Amino acid sequence: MLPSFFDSVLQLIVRTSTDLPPDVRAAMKTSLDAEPAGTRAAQALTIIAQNIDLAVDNEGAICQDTGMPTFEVKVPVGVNQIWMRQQIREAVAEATKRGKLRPNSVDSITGKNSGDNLGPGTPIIHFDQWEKDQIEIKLILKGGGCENTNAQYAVPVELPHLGRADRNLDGVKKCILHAVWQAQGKGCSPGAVGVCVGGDRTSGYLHAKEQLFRSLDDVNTDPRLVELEAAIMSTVNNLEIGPMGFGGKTTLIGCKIGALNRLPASFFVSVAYDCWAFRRLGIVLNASTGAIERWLYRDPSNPIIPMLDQAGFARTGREVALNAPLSEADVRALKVGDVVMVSGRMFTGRDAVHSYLMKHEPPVDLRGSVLYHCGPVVVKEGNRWRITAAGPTTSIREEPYQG
Amino acid sequence: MIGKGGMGAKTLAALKEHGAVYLNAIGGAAQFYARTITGVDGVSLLDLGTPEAMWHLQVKDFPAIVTMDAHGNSLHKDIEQESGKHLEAMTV
Repeated sequence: MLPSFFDSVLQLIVRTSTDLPPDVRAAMKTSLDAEPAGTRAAQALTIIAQNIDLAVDNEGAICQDTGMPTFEVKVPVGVNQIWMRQQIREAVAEATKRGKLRPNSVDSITGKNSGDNLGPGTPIIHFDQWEKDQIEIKLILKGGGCENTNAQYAVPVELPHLGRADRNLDGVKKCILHAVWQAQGKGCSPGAVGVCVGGDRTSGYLHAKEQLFRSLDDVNTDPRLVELEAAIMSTVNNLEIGPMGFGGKTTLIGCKIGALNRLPASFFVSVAYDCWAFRRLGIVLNASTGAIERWLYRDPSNPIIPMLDQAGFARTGREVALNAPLSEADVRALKVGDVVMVSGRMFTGRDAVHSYLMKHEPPVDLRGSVLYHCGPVVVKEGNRWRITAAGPTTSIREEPYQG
Repeated sequence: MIGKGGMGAKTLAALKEHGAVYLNAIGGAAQFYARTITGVDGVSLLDLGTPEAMWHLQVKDFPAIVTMDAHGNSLHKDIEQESGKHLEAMTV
């Protein structure tokens, strides 16, 4: 079989999880430059830029939610796809073992995490044949926070703030704007949307996600959609949702629209929202050895330019230092807009912990404590634990457990 | 509480009643925040899986923004309303 295939796929996974592609970096640089220094938006983007640099320097996961690994594979006629699928699965398990992917495959009935990202439906691998001699593999790692903000519209539909979206391009535009507005900061804005006009409910979502494989700086090959993409990009930032939903000038870094034929009775608009940590890369392989012939989206002869020339949080001098555990008076003194620097003890707790706490006493004393909605990437070194990636998760899922 | 994206009306009311705040950290900045963690003191509920377990962390200078306070204010509510008005302006 192809002796280098496994290693090539493993490299693709590691690189995708840790090194943001140049088109996304360029778009994020543009948004960083657009936000005035000292604003919440600029502070958020500075942290994001540092994070992008740290991830590539240390080969660490850009985001702790390494998403649903989705592979799009094109193969010459006659290659063994069964073997290839097995190799890709093994490479996913290996990348998980190395801490480049978080164990993200959960049994939907028992809630048990498989621990290696393998299970029914995970990872997602699509094969297509083509008339070329090489193998092409593209990978996207789209996290759960932004996946939860995806939206599908059956038009005509009445939309809040926008009125009726009809079965025409103006209606499509309204659906896209509504999806972006509804996502607010929950999908980790500034993000990019892949859109499908038409198809059925299943093919629509699939085609929308496939649009995310297009380069952010490309121009649509369908002239009917060029103008719509441009119209969205020229107006959407006026929403002023901004980075993380903090308000600001950049809400979206890309809008890619495709179209599929539909049934006469149906007209779906499907929107796939991807976060700023827009992790997708690709490789072209020699079909007899499986070795990487070239990378897609990135040119290895071009060096990676750091997003920032210096590290460290850009302090304004107005930051409030908090030392946990906290007193009620400390907490009540805080106001919306305050930037805080938290030190001391913190507990993580997300979906399963909240559900557990509804029926059981907390395993620790939570009074005065800081609870962090976070599902980290953790590696065990000897008998010690080390956290290698630990950003926040979307909090709104815990809303039903509050009060 | 620290998370991302904000929470809703139930939480906002509970923050006021119990004297708590919601801090918004920067979503996706996993490497940045991992470096504010100076140690892992322990873990509870590990049988829920590593992402879902309750990790006991020590942190130093973990930056976040107060987006919901104990006085009934929510930046998320404000931005959603303001951006909704901008949406309406786009259809005129």
